[in-house]
Amino acid sequence: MEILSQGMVINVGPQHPSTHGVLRLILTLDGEQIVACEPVIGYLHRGLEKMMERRPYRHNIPFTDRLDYLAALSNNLAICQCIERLGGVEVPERAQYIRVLLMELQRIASHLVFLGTFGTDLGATTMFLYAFREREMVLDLLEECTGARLTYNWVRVGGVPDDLPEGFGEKVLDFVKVFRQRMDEYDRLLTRNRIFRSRTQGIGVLPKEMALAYGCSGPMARASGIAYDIRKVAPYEVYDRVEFDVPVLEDGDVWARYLVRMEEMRQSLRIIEQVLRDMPDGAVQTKLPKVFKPPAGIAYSRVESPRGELSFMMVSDGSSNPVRVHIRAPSFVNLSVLPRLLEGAKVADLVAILGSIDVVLGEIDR
Amino acid sequence: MNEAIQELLGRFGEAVQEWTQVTPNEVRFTVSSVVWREVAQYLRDAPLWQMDYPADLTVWDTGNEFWLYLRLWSSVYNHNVILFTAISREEPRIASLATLYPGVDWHEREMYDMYGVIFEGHPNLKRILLPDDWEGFPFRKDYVAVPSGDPLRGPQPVD
Repeated sequence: MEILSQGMVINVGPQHPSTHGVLRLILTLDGEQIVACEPVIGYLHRGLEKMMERRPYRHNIPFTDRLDYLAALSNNLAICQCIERLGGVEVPERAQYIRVLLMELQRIASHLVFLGTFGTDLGATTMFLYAFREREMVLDLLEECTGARLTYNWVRVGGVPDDLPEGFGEKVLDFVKVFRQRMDEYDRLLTRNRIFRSRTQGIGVLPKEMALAYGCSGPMARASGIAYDIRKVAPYEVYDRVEFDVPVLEDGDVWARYLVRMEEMRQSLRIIEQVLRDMPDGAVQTKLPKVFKPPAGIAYSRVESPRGELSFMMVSDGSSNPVRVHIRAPSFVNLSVLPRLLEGAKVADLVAILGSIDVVLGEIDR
Repeated sequence: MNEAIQELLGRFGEAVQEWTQVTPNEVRFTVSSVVWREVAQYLRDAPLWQMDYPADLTVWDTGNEFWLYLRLWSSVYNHNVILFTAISREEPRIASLATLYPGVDWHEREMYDMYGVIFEGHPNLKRILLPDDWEGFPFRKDYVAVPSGDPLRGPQPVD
């Protein structure tokens, strides 16, 4: 006898600790298996792109802090680069080095949030305490430099607002030394943990073709065998002058995405050391007119944010305000593949799969 | 890349209204909206292009017409292509690319949400960021919003 079952509909979120923000998922289940998933987004929509049309170009930089609030500096950089390309603004060499230094510190801070929350999602609560202990060190450094802990608003069109504080380089190098050892601790705690491995290996597999067709970027794409890192395919600032490897894994599962992020943190440490070694002296900002009017045209910028390809596109008509600002948020695109990843997955793996995408709802909803 | 550009120009002829090569690996085409989907399909499938990665899709409003912007990347050649096309503001319709590139599915829904552009052939064209009962298309330049007094419904358009 065949038992016919109708799918059960279960609602996850928008208030749910494992959705990392206000994300709602409507799941259709067949027993323990997920048959269909419909993400519902927009709870944080503030119409930032429209707000930016009403303001002069440079007044929009503080808005970008509120997009991906775990990596505000990447957003600051992306909008500034876009405006610089639109207006043909040159950035002094020292400012470019400072930008790269801060971006990599930001990447470590953001990946540590991933690490901590991902561990918690899977029941490894200890990881959260370890990851946030080290993230605190990065935030202290960033606070000393920028004056803020999350909404930095530090990059400016044509450079950065101020030079690094006295003795900042030494403090960063101290952190790098400590953090290398801590990374080994993480490996002992999580990477070599059998329970952790069996909950992540072979789960939520994203094949390479699907990752390409869906436009996945960042660790999502690189864990599926696509060597797509904006720092390599279209180097900006001084990324073409530093040596680093882009970790690319073939498996495309939750485990691979975790490993890619771990390796990226190690590579960020390498970049930080080289940048501090090679940083020249000089000005940190180009002088710009009080009223900034870029010529009419279209420009876009691409930045490798901790979550993937972050792109701003701006249309100018020669006046002081942009005609259109568009933000290509990496989480928005990466989340669109979630229904495909969840097809046939077990409900218990939902949290692992969603956690491994590492979405930030602030930039999805904009 | 030159060979590929010549092949595309030869194939679509008049439908390519304008083109510029910005950098050695980036080219921008302005095409007629009639061939929007054909050009995208050709770029994806032609061996000389293989633009297999949909990076971005958006719309902007000039006040007279809507412009579409599609950015593609090739994982094989590391080439970037930007496609532009203009569509009428009164009847904003264009062929959907969502079945070619699943990655533009959500982008097209967002553009429908904000500008009211109808993507013909889209499998699931409905609002994505705004509530389903929202009236009007807020990113249009002529959209005027007044507070509705209801915090859950947000500003509403004026008739």
